[in-house]
Amino acid sequence: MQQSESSNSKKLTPHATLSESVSIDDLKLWVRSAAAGDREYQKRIYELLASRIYRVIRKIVGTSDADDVMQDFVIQLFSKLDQFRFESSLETWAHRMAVNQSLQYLRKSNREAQRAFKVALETEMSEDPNRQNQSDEAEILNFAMEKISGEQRAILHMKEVEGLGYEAIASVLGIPEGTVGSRLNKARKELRTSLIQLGWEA
Amino acid sequence: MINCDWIEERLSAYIDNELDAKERTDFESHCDHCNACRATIVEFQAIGTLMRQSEASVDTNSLWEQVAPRLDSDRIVSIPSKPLPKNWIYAVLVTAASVSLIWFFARNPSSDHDAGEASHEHAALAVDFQEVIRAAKSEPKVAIAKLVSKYQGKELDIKATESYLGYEPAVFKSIPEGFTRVSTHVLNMPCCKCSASICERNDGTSLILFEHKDEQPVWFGSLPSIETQCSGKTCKIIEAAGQLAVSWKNNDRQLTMIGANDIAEVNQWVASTKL
Repeated sequence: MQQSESSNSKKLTPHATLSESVSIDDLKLWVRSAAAGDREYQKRIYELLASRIYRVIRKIVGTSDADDVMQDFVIQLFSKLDQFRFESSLETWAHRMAVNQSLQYLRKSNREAQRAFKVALETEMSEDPNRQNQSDEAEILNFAMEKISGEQRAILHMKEVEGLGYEAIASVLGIPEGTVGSRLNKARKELRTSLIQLGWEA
Repeated sequence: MINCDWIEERLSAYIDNELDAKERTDFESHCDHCNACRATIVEFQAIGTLMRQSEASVDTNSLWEQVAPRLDSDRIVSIPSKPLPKNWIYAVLVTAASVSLIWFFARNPSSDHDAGEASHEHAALAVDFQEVIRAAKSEPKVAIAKLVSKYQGKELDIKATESYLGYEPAVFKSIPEGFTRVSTHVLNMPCCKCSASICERNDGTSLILFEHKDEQPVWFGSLPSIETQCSGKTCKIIEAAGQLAVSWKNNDRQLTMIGANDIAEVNQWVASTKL
């Protein structure tokens, strides 16, 4: 048996180690200054985290709501930054906040159903230029993603797109590491079923 | 005995390289002669490939431009634990001296459940009250002018105001000693018709009192606020631009005051407004 995908996935995830490019002393200065309201340092921290955080938010809440949730996340990030104690990495801490905020957003007012509707509409109308460039397979994936829960989208994204290990995923989601594999199994199975129903073939 | 069920439980752990060496060997031994399990592995791996290939690009620079102005606005101190220390309000003022506020009148924030949705739904309707609040104390007419232009407002006398609203605003009945009502404008807010009265202190500074008669309470977007008792009423208070914005309910009215100096002044107003 050859295992090609898992090793590749780690190479595809530069975000996972982004803050390693900043020394811990520098990062402490950034965090202190940003927490005190220094806009320059706030921007540096934003740039460090934004791409990765935005992607996971978008995966959970959908393209049309991602900007709103991201903005709320940034506000919350900087209002709580003084509570960050460097007990985990800044990315993990921020990531957890973003995932929780996104899931909370979905839970309010049954947004899961609304999101599914919006994605269907967006895809049909193809107003989004990014979407127009997407392949048929990507569109099918978008539809299939609607059939699984926000938690499942989050865990799949963290594994497949970000390439996080189980320990890191457990830390972000606040779940036992031993349950990550079975949750991923369930998410993958359900996503596979949805994809196949939409005509996808591996 | 390694069977397909055993494999199935470990499919993700295998693909994700999270199995120990012994389990990995057992796993692969089974899959070497099991087409069904191999087929599932191929499908799971293909899902990963599809997800990575479908990941659209991200532009977060423009988002920063949008959110950065909100950072000052929304940087409010955390809510103090109860009971409130006597001098909490001074701590608020000291630690958040430069904050300003984006303030929403929302049409449908009838419950916390809906609040997030309402903020998005009404983003287009919302007014940035940052300047309104800054101006409330020293240049209340400037503050009112901004609202008037946004919400088809107009200045009316007492009788015309009552006629427009269909009721007599509490501010017409009584206001605290040391204040004079200077003017009242009516505004056609998204939630309801609303009056906005400039009330001047003896020292020439002002505050603005809003009043409306709808079910919906005034709320302060997603900003942290403090709920406390002011002269027997539950008041929602936020600190903004070195002043207080306060909202409380009095019978069927919702009153909101912008530009209060301190909690003592809030108490004075809550106690004085009669219906």
